[in-house]
Amino acid sequence: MPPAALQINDLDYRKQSPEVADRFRRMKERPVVLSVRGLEKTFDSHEGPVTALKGLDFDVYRREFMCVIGQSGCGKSTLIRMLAGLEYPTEGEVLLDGNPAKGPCPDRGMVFQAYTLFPWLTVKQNVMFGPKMAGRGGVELEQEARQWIDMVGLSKFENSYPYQLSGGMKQRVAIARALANQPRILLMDEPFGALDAQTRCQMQSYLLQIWQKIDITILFITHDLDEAVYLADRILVLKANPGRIDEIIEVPVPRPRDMDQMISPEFIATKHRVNTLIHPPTEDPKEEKLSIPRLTPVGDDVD
Amino acid sequence: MSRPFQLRGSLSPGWKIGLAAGAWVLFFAIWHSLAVSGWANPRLLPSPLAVCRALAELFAEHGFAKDVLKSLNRVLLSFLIATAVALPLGILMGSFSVAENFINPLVSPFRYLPAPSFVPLLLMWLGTGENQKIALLFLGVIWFLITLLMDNTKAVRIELIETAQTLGAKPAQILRSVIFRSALPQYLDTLRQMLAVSWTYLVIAEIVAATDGIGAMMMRAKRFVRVDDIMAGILVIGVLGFVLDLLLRGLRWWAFPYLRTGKET
Ligand SMILES: Nc1ncnc2c1ncn2[C@@H]1O[C@H](COP(=O)(O)OP(=O)(O)OP(=O)(O)O)[C@@H](O)[C@H]1O
Ligand SMILES: [Mg+2]
Repeated sequence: MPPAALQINDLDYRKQSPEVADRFRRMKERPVVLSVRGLEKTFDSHEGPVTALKGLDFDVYRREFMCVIGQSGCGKSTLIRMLAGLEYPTEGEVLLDGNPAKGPCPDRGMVFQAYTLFPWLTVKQNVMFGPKMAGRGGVELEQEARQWIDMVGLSKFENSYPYQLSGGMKQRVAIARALANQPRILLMDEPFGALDAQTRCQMQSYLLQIWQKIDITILFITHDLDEAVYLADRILVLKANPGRIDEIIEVPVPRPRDMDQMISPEFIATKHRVNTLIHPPTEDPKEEKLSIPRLTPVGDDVD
Repeated sequence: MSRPFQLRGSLSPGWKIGLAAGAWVLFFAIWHSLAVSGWANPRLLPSPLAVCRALAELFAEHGFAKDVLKSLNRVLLSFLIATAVALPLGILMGSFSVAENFINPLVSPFRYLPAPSFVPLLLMWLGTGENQKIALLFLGVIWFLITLLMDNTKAVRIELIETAQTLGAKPAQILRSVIFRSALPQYLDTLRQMLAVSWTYLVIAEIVAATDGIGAMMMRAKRFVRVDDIMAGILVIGVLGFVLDLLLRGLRWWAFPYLRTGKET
Protein backbone atom coordinates (compact mmCIF):
# COMPACT_ATOMS: atom_id res chain seq x y z
CA MET A 1 0.00 0.00 0.00
CA PRO A 2 2.30 2.79 -1.25
CA PRO A 3 -0.03 5.76 -0.53
CA ALA A 4 -0.26 4.87 3.18
CA ALA A 5 3.50 4.48 3.39
CA LEU A 6 3.92 7.98 1.96
CA GLN A 7 1.60 9.44 4.56
CA ILE A 8 3.22 7.58 7.42
CA ASN A 9 6.49 9.34 6.90
CA ASP A 10 4.72 12.64 7.30
CA LEU A 11 3.22 11.62 10.64
CA ASP A 12 5.04 12.20 13.88
CA TYR A 13 4.42 9.77 16.71
CA ARG A 14 5.87 12.34 19.10
CA LYS A 15 3.14 14.84 18.41
CA GLN A 16 0.68 14.65 21.33
CA SER A 17 -2.67 16.33 21.67
CA PRO A 18 -2.92 18.64 24.75
CA GLU A 19 -5.07 16.04 26.55
CA VAL A 20 -2.59 13.26 25.90
CA ALA A 21 0.36 15.43 26.90
CA ASP A 22 -1.48 16.32 30.08
CA ARG A 23 -2.12 12.64 30.76
CA PHE A 24 1.59 11.86 30.51
CA ARG A 25 2.47 14.83 32.71
CA ARG A 26 0.07 13.58 35.39
CA MET A 27 1.35 10.01 35.04
CA LYS A 28 4.90 11.12 35.68
CA GLU A 29 3.82 12.98 38.78
CA ARG A 30 2.64 9.72 40.25
CA PRO A 31 5.06 7.71 42.38
CA VAL A 32 7.36 5.21 40.72
CA VAL A 33 6.23 1.67 41.50
CA LEU A 34 8.94 -0.28 39.75
CA SER A 35 12.39 0.88 38.92
CA VAL A 36 15.08 -1.00 37.15
CA ARG A 37 18.67 0.07 37.72
CA GLY A 38 21.58 -1.14 35.58
CA LEU A 39 19.97 -4.53 35.12
CA GLU A 40 22.13 -7.11 33.40
CA LYS A 41 21.81 -10.84 32.85
CA THR A 42 24.43 -13.24 31.55
CA PHE A 43 23.67 -16.91 31.01
CA ASP A 44 26.31 -19.63 30.95
CA SER A 45 25.62 -21.68 27.86
CA HIS A 46 27.62 -24.40 26.14
CA GLU A 47 29.17 -21.84 23.81
CA GLY A 48 30.32 -19.69 26.70
CA PRO A 49 28.57 -16.82 28.47
CA VAL A 50 25.62 -15.18 26.66
CA THR A 51 24.62 -11.67 27.67
CA ALA A 52 20.84 -11.64 27.35
CA LEU A 53 20.33 -8.14 28.76
CA LYS A 54 22.70 -5.27 29.40
CA GLY A 55 22.43 -1.95 31.18
CA LEU A 56 18.66 -1.65 31.52
CA ASP A 57 17.35 1.46 33.28
CA PHE A 58 13.71 2.49 33.41
CA ASP A 59 10.87 3.41 35.74
CA VAL A 60 7.24 2.35 35.73
CA TYR A 61 4.80 4.79 37.29
CA ARG A 62 1.85 3.88 39.44
CA ARG A 63 -1.14 2.78 37.34
CA GLU A 64 0.89 2.93 34.18
CA PHE A 65 0.34 0.35 31.46
CA MET A 66 3.75 -0.37 29.96
CA CYS A 67 4.34 -2.73 27.07
CA VAL A 68 7.70 -4.27 26.27
CA ILE A 69 8.26 -5.24 22.67
CA GLY A 70 11.19 -6.65 20.76
CA GLN A 71 12.30 -9.36 18.40
CA SER A 72 12.22 -12.97 19.46
CA GLY A 73 15.22 -13.73 21.65
CA CYS A 74 15.96 -10.13 22.62
CA GLY A 75 15.46 -10.93 26.30
CA LYS A 76 11.86 -9.97 27.03
CA SER A 77 11.13 -13.08 29.04
CA THR A 78 14.45 -12.83 30.81
CA LEU A 79 13.57 -9.27 31.83
CA ILE A 80 10.12 -10.08 33.16
CA ARG A 81 11.37 -13.18 34.96
CA MET A 82 13.94 -11.06 36.74
CA LEU A 83 11.23 -8.57 37.66
CA ALA A 84 9.13 -11.43 39.03
CA GLY A 85 12.12 -12.73 41.00
CA LEU A 86 12.22 -16.03 39.12
CA GLU A 87 15.66 -15.25 37.72
CA TYR A 88 18.50 -13.44 39.45
CA PRO A 89 20.20 -10.47 37.77
CA THR A 90 23.93 -10.78 37.14
CA GLU A 91 24.24 -7.05 37.73
CA GLY A 92 21.96 -4.22 38.83
CA GLU A 93 18.76 -4.32 40.79
CA VAL A 94 14.97 -4.13 40.71
CA LEU A 95 13.25 -1.76 43.13
CA LEU A 96 9.61 -2.03 44.08
CA ASP A 97 8.33 1.14 45.76
CA GLY A 98 11.98 1.96 46.31
CA ASN A 99 12.83 -1.27 48.10
CA PRO A 100 15.08 -3.92 46.55
CA ALA A 101 12.95 -6.78 45.25
CA LYS A 102 14.68 -10.12 45.51
CA GLY A 103 13.07 -13.46 44.82
CA PRO A 104 9.42 -14.15 43.99
CA CYS A 105 6.87 -12.34 46.12
CA PRO A 106 3.08 -11.93 45.97
CA ASP A 107 3.43 -8.17 45.49
CA ARG A 108 4.60 -8.88 41.93
CA GLY A 109 1.93 -10.98 40.21
CA MET A 110 2.71 -12.88 37.06
CA VAL A 111 0.67 -14.23 34.16
CA PHE A 112 2.53 -16.59 31.86
CA GLN A 113 1.98 -17.34 28.19
CA ALA A 114 1.58 -21.06 28.93
CA TYR A 115 -1.58 -22.09 30.74
CA THR A 116 -0.68 -22.32 34.39
CA LEU A 117 -3.97 -22.91 36.19
CA PHE A 118 -3.66 -25.74 38.68
CA PRO A 119 -5.66 -28.48 36.93
CA TRP A 120 -6.77 -30.15 40.18
CA LEU A 121 -8.37 -26.95 41.51
CA THR A 122 -11.62 -25.38 40.40
CA VAL A 123 -11.69 -21.83 39.10
CA LYS A 124 -12.57 -20.49 42.54
CA GLN A 125 -9.93 -22.57 44.29
CA ASN A 126 -7.35 -21.39 41.77
CA VAL A 127 -8.23 -17.78 42.48
CA MET A 128 -8.01 -18.38 46.24
CA PHE A 129 -4.61 -20.09 46.00
CA GLY A 130 -2.46 -17.03 46.74
CA PRO A 131 -4.41 -15.73 49.76
CA LYS A 132 -4.62 -19.30 51.11
CA MET A 133 -0.85 -19.62 50.99
CA ALA A 134 -0.75 -16.42 53.03
CA GLY A 135 -2.84 -18.16 55.67
CA ARG A 136 -6.20 -16.65 54.81
CA GLY A 137 -9.43 -18.54 54.40
CA GLY A 138 -13.10 -18.67 55.28
CA VAL A 139 -16.24 -17.22 53.83
CA GLU A 140 -14.76 -13.77 53.48
CA LEU A 141 -12.04 -15.04 51.16
CA GLU A 142 -14.55 -16.98 49.11
CA GLN A 143 -16.62 -13.87 48.61
CA GLU A 144 -13.56 -11.95 47.61
CA ALA A 145 -12.60 -14.68 45.14
CA ARG A 146 -16.11 -14.49 43.66
CA GLN A 147 -15.66 -10.78 43.10
CA TRP A 148 -12.47 -11.34 41.15
CA ILE A 149 -14.09 -14.10 39.11
CA ASP A 150 -17.00 -11.76 38.49
CA MET A 151 -14.63 -9.08 37.30
CA VAL A 152 -13.25 -11.33 34.57
CA GLY A 153 -16.80 -12.35 33.69
CA LEU A 154 -16.65 -16.02 34.67
CA SER A 155 -19.17 -16.23 37.52
CA LYS A 156 -20.89 -19.16 35.84
CA PHE A 157 -17.67 -21.13 35.86
CA GLU A 158 -16.49 -20.68 39.43
CA ASN A 159 -16.83 -24.40 40.13
CA SER A 160 -15.50 -25.58 36.78
CA TYR A 161 -12.13 -27.22 36.36
CA PRO A 162 -9.55 -25.64 34.03
CA TYR A 163 -9.98 -28.38 31.41
CA GLN A 164 -13.57 -27.23 30.97
CA LEU A 165 -12.48 -23.72 29.96
CA SER A 166 -11.35 -22.31 26.63
CA GLY A 167 -7.89 -20.79 26.28
CA GLY A 168 -9.13 -17.23 26.70
CA MET A 169 -11.13 -18.16 29.79
CA LYS A 170 -8.09 -19.86 31.32
CA GLN A 171 -6.05 -16.70 30.89
CA ARG A 172 -8.84 -14.63 32.44
CA VAL A 173 -8.79 -16.89 35.48
CA ALA A 174 -5.00 -16.58 35.60
CA ILE A 175 -5.43 -12.79 35.64
CA ALA A 176 -8.05 -13.00 38.40
CA ARG A 177 -5.79 -15.31 40.39
CA ALA A 178 -2.85 -12.92 40.12
CA LEU A 179 -5.06 -9.94 41.06
CA ALA A 180 -6.58 -11.74 44.06
CA ASN A 181 -3.19 -11.38 45.72
CA GLN A 182 -3.51 -7.60 45.33
CA PRO A 183 -0.06 -7.17 43.83
CA ARG A 184 1.58 -3.78 43.34
CA ILE A 185 2.39 -4.66 39.76
CA LEU A 186 1.05 -7.24 37.33
CA LEU A 187 3.69 -8.79 35.07
CA MET A 188 2.40 -10.43 31.90
CA ASP A 189 4.60 -12.40 29.50
CA GLU A 190 2.76 -12.67 26.17
CA PRO A 191 -0.37 -13.79 28.00
CA PHE A 192 -2.48 -13.83 24.84
CA GLY A 193 0.21 -15.29 22.61
CA ALA A 194 -1.48 -18.69 22.33
CA LEU A 195 -4.95 -17.32 21.55
CA ASP A 196 -6.60 -16.89 18.17
CA ALA A 197 -6.90 -13.37 16.76
CA GLN A 198 -10.54 -12.81 17.73
CA THR A 199 -10.20 -14.04 21.31
CA ARG A 200 -7.06 -11.99 21.57
CA CYS A 201 -8.89 -8.75 20.70
CA GLN A 202 -11.55 -9.60 23.26
CA MET A 203 -8.94 -10.26 25.92
CA GLN A 204 -7.22 -6.97 25.20
CA SER A 205 -10.40 -5.03 25.78
CA TYR A 206 -11.16 -7.06 28.94
CA LEU A 207 -7.71 -6.27 30.25
CA LEU A 208 -8.08 -2.55 29.60
CA GLN A 209 -11.44 -2.57 31.39
CA ILE A 210 -9.98 -4.33 34.41
CA TRP A 211 -6.98 -2.01 34.47
CA GLN A 212 -9.31 1.00 34.48
CA LYS A 213 -11.36 -0.36 37.36
CA ILE A 214 -8.65 -1.23 39.86
CA ASP A 215 -5.45 0.31 41.17
CA ILE A 216 -2.94 -1.79 39.31
CA THR A 217 0.24 -1.17 37.35
CA ILE A 218 0.85 -3.45 34.40
CA LEU A 219 4.01 -4.46 32.58
CA PHE A 220 3.00 -6.40 29.50
CA ILE A 221 5.25 -8.24 27.09
CA THR A 222 4.19 -8.80 23.52
CA HIS A 223 5.66 -9.13 20.08
CA ASP A 224 2.49 -7.88 18.42
CA LEU A 225 2.65 -4.26 17.25
CA ASP A 226 -1.10 -3.62 17.33
CA GLU A 227 -1.39 -5.11 20.79
CA ALA A 228 1.41 -2.94 22.14
CA VAL A 229 0.07 0.31 20.70
CA TYR A 230 -3.52 -0.49 21.62
CA LEU A 231 -2.76 -1.30 25.26
CA ALA A 232 0.19 0.79 26.32
CA ASP A 233 0.78 4.18 27.85
CA ARG A 234 4.41 3.74 26.99
CA ILE A 235 6.16 1.12 24.89
CA LEU A 236 9.63 -0.01 25.82
CA VAL A 237 11.33 -1.23 22.67
CA LEU A 238 14.17 -3.69 23.18
CA LYS A 239 17.09 -4.25 20.82
CA ALA A 240 18.77 -7.64 20.61
CA ASN A 241 22.32 -8.93 21.17
CA PRO A 242 22.69 -7.97 23.90
CA GLY A 243 19.18 -6.95 24.88
CA ARG A 244 19.03 -3.25 25.71
CA ILE A 245 16.58 -0.39 25.52
CA ASP A 246 16.19 1.06 22.06
CA GLU A 247 13.55 3.67 22.84
CA ILE A 248 10.72 4.29 25.26
CA ILE A 249 7.78 5.51 23.19
CA GLU A 250 4.91 7.53 24.63
CA VAL A 251 1.80 6.36 22.79
CA PRO A 252 -0.10 9.45 21.62
CA VAL A 253 -3.41 7.59 21.17
CA PRO A 254 -6.01 9.07 23.57
CA ARG A 255 -7.84 6.99 26.17
CA PRO A 256 -10.30 5.35 26.61
CA ARG A 257 -9.19 3.19 23.71
CA ASP A 258 -11.25 1.20 21.29
CA MET A 259 -10.49 -0.86 18.23
CA ASP A 260 -11.63 1.90 15.85
CA GLN A 261 -8.60 3.96 16.85
CA MET A 262 -6.41 1.41 15.11
CA ILE A 263 -6.79 3.39 11.89
CA SER A 264 -6.24 6.78 13.51
CA PRO A 265 -3.12 8.71 12.38
CA GLU A 266 -1.53 8.59 15.88
CA PHE A 267 -1.97 4.85 16.04
CA ILE A 268 -0.48 4.26 12.61
CA ALA A 269 2.40 6.63 13.25
CA THR A 270 3.29 4.91 16.51
CA LYS A 271 2.98 1.49 14.97
CA HIS A 272 5.18 2.55 12.10
CA ARG A 273 7.81 3.85 14.47
CA VAL A 274 7.88 0.65 16.53
CA ASN A 275 8.03 -1.35 13.32
CA THR A 276 11.06 0.51 12.00
CA LEU A 277 12.78 0.02 15.36
CA ILE A 278 12.10 -3.71 15.46
CA HIS A 279 12.61 -4.39 11.78
CA PRO A 280 15.20 -1.85 10.69
CA PRO A 281 15.31 -1.49 6.89
CA THR A 282 17.99 -3.91 5.70
CA GLU A 283 20.93 -2.49 3.74
CA ASP A 284 20.97 -5.41 1.33
CA PRO A 285 17.46 -6.03 -0.02
CA LYS A 286 18.59 -9.36 -1.52
CA GLU A 287 18.99 -10.74 1.99
CA GLU A 288 15.28 -11.14 2.46
CA LYS A 289 14.58 -12.77 -0.92
CA LEU A 290 14.59 -16.54 -0.79
CA SER A 291 16.24 -18.27 -3.72
CA ILE A 292 13.61 -20.81 -4.62
CA PRO A 293 13.76 -22.33 -8.11
CA ARG A 294 10.58 -22.22 -10.12
CA LEU A 295 8.76 -25.55 -9.74
CA THR A 296 5.54 -24.80 -11.58
CA PRO A 297 4.83 -24.76 -15.30
CA VAL A 298 4.88 -21.45 -17.09
CA GLY A 299 1.47 -19.93 -17.69
CA ASP A 300 -0.22 -20.22 -14.30
CA ASP A 301 1.25 -17.07 -12.80
CA VAL A 302 -0.22 -15.92 -9.54
CA ASP A 303 1.40 -12.50 -9.27
CA MET B 1 -18.68 -43.24 16.16
CA SER B 2 -16.57 -46.37 16.03
CA ARG B 3 -13.84 -46.59 13.44
CA PRO B 4 -12.38 -49.98 14.31
CA PHE B 5 -10.20 -50.44 11.24
CA GLN B 6 -8.85 -46.95 10.82
CA LEU B 7 -5.33 -45.97 11.83
CA ARG B 8 -5.61 -44.75 15.42
CA GLY B 9 -9.37 -44.95 15.08
CA SER B 10 -11.60 -44.69 18.12
CA LEU B 11 -13.85 -47.43 19.52
CA SER B 12 -17.18 -47.31 21.30
CA PRO B 13 -17.41 -48.99 24.74
CA GLY B 14 -19.45 -51.78 23.18
CA TRP B 15 -16.67 -52.61 20.75
CA LYS B 16 -14.07 -52.54 23.52
CA ILE B 17 -15.98 -54.91 25.80
CA GLY B 18 -16.81 -57.16 22.89
CA LEU B 19 -13.18 -57.39 21.79
CA ALA B 20 -11.94 -58.09 25.33
CA ALA B 21 -14.55 -60.79 25.86
CA GLY B 22 -13.77 -62.26 22.45
CA ALA B 23 -10.07 -62.55 23.31
CA TRP B 24 -10.88 -64.47 26.50
CA VAL B 25 -13.42 -66.71 24.83
CA LEU B 26 -10.84 -67.52 22.16
CA PHE B 27 -8.21 -68.24 24.82
CA PHE B 28 -10.44 -70.64 26.75
CA ALA B 29 -11.72 -72.25 23.56
CA ILE B 30 -8.19 -73.06 22.38
CA TRP B 31 -7.21 -74.28 25.83
CA HIS B 32 -10.33 -76.41 26.11
CA SER B 33 -10.01 -77.97 22.68
CA LEU B 34 -6.31 -78.73 23.29
CA ALA B 35 -7.18 -80.40 26.59
CA VAL B 36 -10.09 -82.52 25.33
CA SER B 37 -8.56 -83.40 21.95
CA GLY B 38 -6.22 -85.85 23.60
CA TRP B 39 -3.30 -84.08 21.95
CA ALA B 40 -1.78 -83.45 25.39
CA ASN B 41 -1.72 -85.63 28.47
CA PRO B 42 -4.82 -84.52 30.45
CA ARG B 43 -2.80 -84.84 33.65
CA LEU B 44 -0.34 -82.22 32.41
CA LEU B 45 -2.95 -80.07 30.66
CA PRO B 46 -6.30 -80.21 32.45
CA SER B 47 -9.25 -78.49 30.82
CA PRO B 48 -10.49 -75.11 32.08
CA LEU B 49 -13.42 -76.84 33.71
CA ALA B 50 -11.15 -79.24 35.57
CA VAL B 51 -9.18 -76.27 36.86
CA CYS B 52 -12.36 -74.61 38.10
CA ARG B 53 -13.37 -77.82 39.83
CA ALA B 54 -9.95 -78.05 41.46
CA LEU B 55 -10.25 -74.45 42.59
CA ALA B 56 -13.65 -75.06 44.21
CA GLU B 57 -12.24 -78.11 45.94
CA LEU B 58 -9.22 -76.16 47.19
CA PHE B 59 -11.46 -73.56 48.79
CA ALA B 60 -13.98 -76.04 50.14
CA GLU B 61 -11.74 -78.78 51.48
CA HIS B 62 -8.18 -77.52 51.84
CA GLY B 63 -8.64 -74.14 53.50
CA PHE B 64 -7.23 -72.33 50.47
CA ALA B 65 -8.86 -69.07 51.55
CA LYS B 66 -6.30 -68.83 54.35
CA ASP B 67 -3.47 -69.22 51.87
CA VAL B 68 -4.94 -66.55 49.64
CA LEU B 69 -5.34 -64.11 52.53
CA LYS B 70 -1.80 -64.82 53.65
CA SER B 71 -0.41 -64.06 50.20
CA LEU B 72 -2.53 -60.97 49.85
CA ASN B 73 -1.32 -59.80 53.23
CA ARG B 74 2.32 -60.33 52.24
CA VAL B 75 1.98 -58.39 49.02
CA LEU B 76 0.06 -55.50 50.55
CA LEU B 77 2.16 -55.19 53.71
CA SER B 78 5.48 -55.26 51.86
CA PHE B 79 4.14 -52.84 49.28
CA LEU B 80 2.91 -50.48 51.95
CA ILE B 81 6.35 -50.42 53.56
CA ALA B 82 8.02 -49.94 50.18
CA THR B 83 5.68 -47.03 49.37
CA ALA B 84 6.28 -45.44 52.76
CA VAL B 85 10.02 -45.49 52.07
CA ALA B 86 9.99 -44.68 48.36
CA LEU B 87 7.43 -41.87 48.23
CA PRO B 88 9.23 -39.40 50.53
CA LEU B 89 12.55 -40.27 48.88
CA GLY B 90 11.10 -39.88 45.39
CA ILE B 91 9.55 -36.52 46.22
CA LEU B 92 12.74 -35.29 47.80
CA MET B 93 14.93 -36.51 44.94
CA GLY B 94 12.59 -35.10 42.31
CA SER B 95 12.49 -31.71 44.03
CA PHE B 96 16.05 -31.15 45.22
CA SER B 97 19.02 -31.96 42.98
CA VAL B 98 21.16 -32.40 46.10
CA ALA B 99 18.97 -35.29 47.21
CA GLU B 100 18.89 -36.75 43.70
CA ASN B 101 22.64 -36.60 43.24
CA PHE B 102 23.25 -38.12 46.66
CA ILE B 103 20.72 -40.95 46.58
CA ASN B 104 20.44 -41.85 42.92
CA PRO B 105 24.01 -43.18 42.55
CA LEU B 106 23.06 -45.78 45.16
CA VAL B 107 19.53 -46.55 44.01
CA SER B 108 20.22 -46.67 40.29
CA PRO B 109 22.68 -49.63 40.27
CA PHE B 110 20.60 -51.54 42.79
CA ARG B 111 17.85 -51.77 40.19
CA TYR B 112 20.05 -54.14 38.22
CA LEU B 113 20.48 -56.60 41.08
CA PRO B 114 17.79 -59.26 40.77
CA ALA B 115 15.87 -59.45 44.04
CA PRO B 116 15.77 -63.30 44.03
CA SER B 117 19.56 -63.34 44.20
CA PHE B 118 19.19 -61.96 47.72
CA VAL B 119 17.19 -65.00 48.85
CA PRO B 120 20.17 -66.91 50.30
CA LEU B 121 21.29 -63.81 52.17
CA LEU B 122 17.83 -63.09 53.48
CA LEU B 123 17.44 -66.69 54.63
CA MET B 124 20.62 -66.37 56.68
CA TRP B 125 19.83 -62.95 58.05
CA LEU B 126 16.12 -63.26 58.69
CA GLY B 127 15.47 -67.00 58.84
CA THR B 128 12.62 -68.70 57.04
CA GLY B 129 9.84 -66.73 58.68
CA GLU B 130 7.56 -63.96 57.55
CA ASN B 131 10.23 -61.25 57.66
CA GLN B 132 12.26 -62.93 54.98
CA LYS B 133 9.30 -62.99 52.61
CA ILE B 134 8.32 -59.41 53.28
CA ALA B 135 11.95 -58.36 52.78
CA LEU B 136 12.16 -60.12 49.42
CA LEU B 137 8.95 -58.54 48.18
CA PHE B 138 10.21 -55.18 49.45
CA LEU B 139 13.56 -55.55 47.66
CA GLY B 140 11.77 -56.57 44.49
CA VAL B 141 10.03 -53.22 44.05
CA ILE B 142 11.79 -50.60 46.15
CA TRP B 143 14.50 -49.48 43.72
CA PHE B 144 12.20 -49.09 40.75
CA LEU B 145 9.61 -47.48 42.95
CA ILE B 146 12.05 -44.80 44.13
CA THR B 147 13.25 -44.09 40.59
CA LEU B 148 9.77 -43.93 39.08
CA LEU B 149 8.33 -41.76 41.84
CA MET B 150 11.29 -39.43 41.42
CA ASP B 151 10.56 -39.20 37.69
CA ASN B 152 6.88 -38.51 38.42
CA THR B 153 7.95 -35.70 40.73
CA LYS B 154 10.30 -34.24 38.17
CA ALA B 155 7.60 -34.29 35.51
CA VAL B 156 5.59 -31.64 37.37
CA ARG B 157 5.55 -28.63 35.05
CA ILE B 158 8.02 -25.97 36.13
CA GLU B 159 5.49 -23.28 35.19
CA LEU B 160 3.15 -24.52 37.90
CA ILE B 161 5.92 -24.30 40.48
CA GLU B 162 6.92 -20.83 39.31
CA THR B 163 3.31 -19.69 39.32
CA ALA B 164 2.99 -20.83 42.93
CA GLN B 165 6.16 -18.93 43.78
CA THR B 166 4.86 -15.71 42.27
CA LEU B 167 1.61 -16.25 44.19
CA GLY B 168 3.63 -16.21 47.41
CA ALA B 169 3.86 -19.93 48.24
CA LYS B 170 6.83 -20.96 50.38
CA PRO B 171 8.93 -24.02 49.43
CA ALA B 172 7.22 -26.30 51.96
CA GLN B 173 3.81 -25.18 50.69
CA ILE B 174 4.87 -25.74 47.09
CA LEU B 175 6.09 -29.23 47.94
CA ARG B 176 2.76 -30.13 49.47
CA SER B 177 0.18 -28.08 47.57
CA VAL B 178 1.71 -28.10 44.12
CA ILE B 179 4.37 -30.76 43.52
CA PHE B 180 2.81 -33.58 45.54
CA ARG B 181 -0.72 -32.67 44.54
CA SER B 182 0.11 -32.28 40.88
CA ALA B 183 1.97 -35.60 40.63
CA LEU B 184 -0.50 -37.56 42.75
CA PRO B 185 -2.30 -39.24 39.81
CA GLN B 186 1.04 -40.25 38.33
CA TYR B 187 2.19 -41.59 41.70
CA LEU B 188 -0.92 -43.71 41.80
CA ASP B 189 -0.22 -45.04 38.29
CA THR B 190 3.33 -45.93 39.28
CA LEU B 191 2.12 -47.72 42.41
CA ARG B 192 -0.46 -49.63 40.39
CA GLN B 193 2.16 -50.83 37.92
CA MET B 194 4.70 -51.77 40.57
CA LEU B 195 2.06 -53.63 42.55
CA ALA B 196 1.74 -55.94 39.56
CA VAL B 197 5.50 -56.54 39.72
CA SER B 198 5.19 -57.30 43.42
CA TRP B 199 2.91 -60.26 42.64
CA THR B 200 5.62 -61.81 40.48
CA TYR B 201 7.97 -61.87 43.48
CA LEU B 202 5.29 -63.39 45.68
CA VAL B 203 5.58 -66.81 44.11
CA ILE B 204 9.38 -66.71 44.42
CA ALA B 205 9.06 -65.76 48.07
CA GLU B 206 6.57 -68.53 48.73
CA ILE B 207 8.29 -71.38 46.97
CA VAL B 208 11.30 -71.00 49.25
CA ALA B 209 10.73 -72.44 52.70
CA ALA B 210 7.10 -71.43 52.98
CA THR B 211 4.32 -73.44 54.56
CA ASP B 212 1.42 -71.22 53.65
CA GLY B 213 0.39 -68.90 50.86
CA ILE B 214 -0.63 -69.48 47.26
CA GLY B 215 2.94 -70.26 46.18
CA ALA B 216 3.41 -72.85 48.93
CA MET B 217 0.19 -74.57 47.89
CA MET B 218 1.45 -74.70 44.32
CA MET B 219 4.74 -76.25 45.41
CA ARG B 220 2.85 -78.89 47.37
CA ALA B 221 0.65 -79.58 44.35
CA LYS B 222 3.74 -80.01 42.19
CA ARG B 223 4.92 -82.89 44.37
CA PHE B 224 1.68 -84.75 43.57
CA VAL B 225 1.61 -83.60 39.94
CA ARG B 226 -1.67 -81.82 40.58
CA VAL B 227 -1.43 -79.57 37.54
CA ASP B 228 -5.06 -78.52 38.03
CA ASP B 229 -4.22 -77.15 41.50
CA ILE B 230 -1.17 -75.33 40.17
CA MET B 231 -3.24 -73.76 37.44
CA ALA B 232 -5.91 -72.84 39.97
CA GLY B 233 -3.18 -71.04 41.97
CA ILE B 234 -2.03 -69.15 38.89
CA LEU B 235 -5.63 -68.22 38.15
CA VAL B 236 -6.17 -66.86 41.65
CA ILE B 237 -2.99 -64.77 41.49
CA GLY B 238 -4.09 -63.41 38.14
CA VAL B 239 -7.56 -62.55 39.36
CA LEU B 240 -6.28 -60.92 42.56
CA GLY B 241 -3.76 -58.84 40.64
CA PHE B 242 -6.39 -57.80 38.15
CA VAL B 243 -8.92 -56.87 40.83
CA LEU B 244 -6.36 -54.75 42.70
CA ASP B 245 -5.50 -53.06 39.42
CA LEU B 246 -9.17 -52.32 38.80
CA LEU B 247 -9.58 -50.96 42.32
CA LEU B 248 -6.66 -48.59 41.87
CA ARG B 249 -7.97 -47.48 38.48
CA GLY B 250 -11.34 -46.85 40.11
CA LEU B 251 -9.67 -44.87 42.87
CA ARG B 252 -7.90 -42.74 40.26
CA TRP B 253 -11.15 -42.10 38.43
CA TRP B 254 -12.97 -41.22 41.63
CA ALA B 255 -10.27 -39.10 43.22
CA PHE B 256 -9.26 -37.06 40.18
CA PRO B 257 -12.43 -35.89 38.44
CA TYR B 258 -10.41 -33.35 36.49
CA LEU B 259 -8.63 -36.12 34.59
CA ARG B 260 -11.76 -37.86 33.38
CA THR B 261 -11.76 -36.09 30.03
CA GLY B 262 -8.82 -38.00 28.70
CA LYS B 263 -7.03 -34.82 27.76
CA GLU B 264 -4.74 -33.38 30.39
CA THR B 265 -4.15 -29.69 30.83
N1 LIG C 1 18.28 -20.39 30.84
C1 LIG C 1 18.97 -19.89 29.81
N2 LIG C 1 20.22 -20.32 29.53
C2 LIG C 1 20.91 -19.84 28.49
N3 LIG C 1 20.45 -18.89 27.67
C3 LIG C 1 19.23 -18.41 27.88
C4 LIG C 1 18.42 -18.89 28.95
N4 LIG C 1 17.23 -18.24 28.92
C5 LIG C 1 17.31 -17.40 27.87
N5 LIG C 1 18.49 -17.49 27.26
C6 LIG C 1 18.94 -16.69 26.09
O1 LIG C 1 18.68 -15.35 26.37
C7 LIG C 1 18.17 -14.69 25.22
C8 LIG C 1 16.86 -14.04 25.55
O2 LIG C 1 15.86 -15.02 25.76
P1 LIG C 1 14.37 -14.66 26.13
O3 LIG C 1 13.63 -15.93 26.32
O4 LIG C 1 14.38 -13.71 27.25
O5 LIG C 1 13.88 -13.95 24.80
P2 LIG C 1 12.44 -13.39 24.43
O6 LIG C 1 12.60 -11.98 24.02
O7 LIG C 1 11.48 -13.67 25.52
O8 LIG C 1 12.08 -14.28 23.16
P3 LIG C 1 10.64 -14.76 22.66
O9 LIG C 1 10.00 -13.62 21.93
O10 LIG C 1 10.98 -15.87 21.71
O11 LIG C 1 9.86 -15.21 23.83
C9 LIG C 1 18.07 -15.73 24.13
O12 LIG C 1 19.18 -15.59 23.28
C10 LIG C 1 18.13 -17.03 24.86
O13 LIG C 1 18.77 -18.00 24.08
MG1 LIG D 1 9.63 -14.90 25.72
